[in-house]
Amino acid sequence: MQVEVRHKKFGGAQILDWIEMSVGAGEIVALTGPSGIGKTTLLRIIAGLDRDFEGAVTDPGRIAMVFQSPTLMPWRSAADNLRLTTGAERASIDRLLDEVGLEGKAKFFPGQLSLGQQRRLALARALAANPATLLMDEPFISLDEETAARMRRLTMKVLEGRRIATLIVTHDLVEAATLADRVVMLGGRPAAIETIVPITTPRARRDAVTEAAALRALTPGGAGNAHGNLT
Amino acid sequence: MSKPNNQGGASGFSRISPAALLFPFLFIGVWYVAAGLAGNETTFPSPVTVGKIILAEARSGALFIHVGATLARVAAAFVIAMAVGCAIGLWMGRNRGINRWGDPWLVFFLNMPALVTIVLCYIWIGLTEAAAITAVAINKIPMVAVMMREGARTLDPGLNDMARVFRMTPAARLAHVVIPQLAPHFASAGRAGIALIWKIVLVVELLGASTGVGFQIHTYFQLFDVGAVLAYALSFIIVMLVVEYLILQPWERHASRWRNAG
Repeated sequence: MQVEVRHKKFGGAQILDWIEMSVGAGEIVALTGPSGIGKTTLLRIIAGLDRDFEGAVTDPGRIAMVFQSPTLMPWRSAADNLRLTTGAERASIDRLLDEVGLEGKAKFFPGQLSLGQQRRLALARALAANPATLLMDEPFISLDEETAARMRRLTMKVLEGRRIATLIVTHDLVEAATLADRVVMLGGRPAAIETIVPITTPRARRDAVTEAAALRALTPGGAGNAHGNLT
Repeated sequence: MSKPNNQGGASGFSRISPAALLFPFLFIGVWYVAAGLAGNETTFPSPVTVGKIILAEARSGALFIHVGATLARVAAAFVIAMAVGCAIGLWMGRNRGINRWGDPWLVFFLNMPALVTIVLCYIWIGLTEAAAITAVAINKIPMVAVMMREGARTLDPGLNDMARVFRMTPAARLAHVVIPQLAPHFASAGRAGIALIWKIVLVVELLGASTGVGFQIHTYFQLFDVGAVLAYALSFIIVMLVVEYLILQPWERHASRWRNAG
């Protein structure tokens, strides 16, 4: 999947400058940057939700998305939330619910699940679409740290065996460092790519804290400079 | 963690509240005492007298013909008004330009007296069943449109994005994303609609039909037969209560069971 944005305006203000990036099959790329920089805007452009821009999204294949909020249909059961949006078969729905730890919850309404479970259901829904490109917009926001860490491990596990080009928007460098093979940092106004940091340590052997500290040291503007020398 | 609910399977009848079940007895009791105090069977007949008239009309078959005719008109006008009103309301709620142009028209028709619509429909279309149903539907459509427009304005943009990203078909989107969000608005429009519609249907029947509860009330009014007037009115109210408690409310509970689950 490749994306090239030359120009993106909201009203009169230009939000995004020239941005060109690609995500390969099986690769996980994290998109970070200060809040309000236009990360979500870029993601919505890739998702096809925002067509009012100059540039092109090439070869995304089937797209699935995990939104900031679980965005489930509260009036449909967990299984129906997967089936009605993606057309997945009964058997694969059951398999996916097992995979994200929601076995036996197929008939539950989203309101009967905890926020963590709802987010896992949203992840399962994205996987049920069998996507070539997976877009995740702050997928673990407003979870407590322990639940978020569990969600990150789960996300890595389910993405491990699949050849999905994954782009995760996050403001959390620990999250970026844990999950991504490459971290793309946006900055400036209008926003452009400031740095691209490849993370070479294999995902399984990473120490997220160390990696995050290294990333923070690279962060332009030095939001994390106080911790920049932890390594 | 809670269990999946199975309330949807429970029968509607078992869930009617005691207050609703007691209501008919209380009502007849109050009426009986009031009629006794008034002491005039001609102008204020007792429930016993009216009950006898209902039985007699039922035995002759006239009751079923007229209540059935009115019910059929109510149903036809209701379906048309809900369908057209929903379509207009959704269109206006989703499209600002349409709303700007449509709003004055809506206000105009909202304030058009029912009687004028009925008279004009009879004159323009003729004294036909189609004219009667059209007149009632035209009276009701603006109200449904206004209520559904409010519903359309509150549709969740997040769910809309989700449906677009996952490429849900328009039919699936309508059935599983849009309609469930509109269901509460639809239910209140329907509830308010059905009560209003049957009252307008009576006026329509009074002015230009030869069947129906309105026609019978007109006839018995000219004969000054208060008992028969009450008998027909009451029979139809009973039918509408049955519709409310055995059809509308169970349906509403079924449609909103996800809210109460857990």
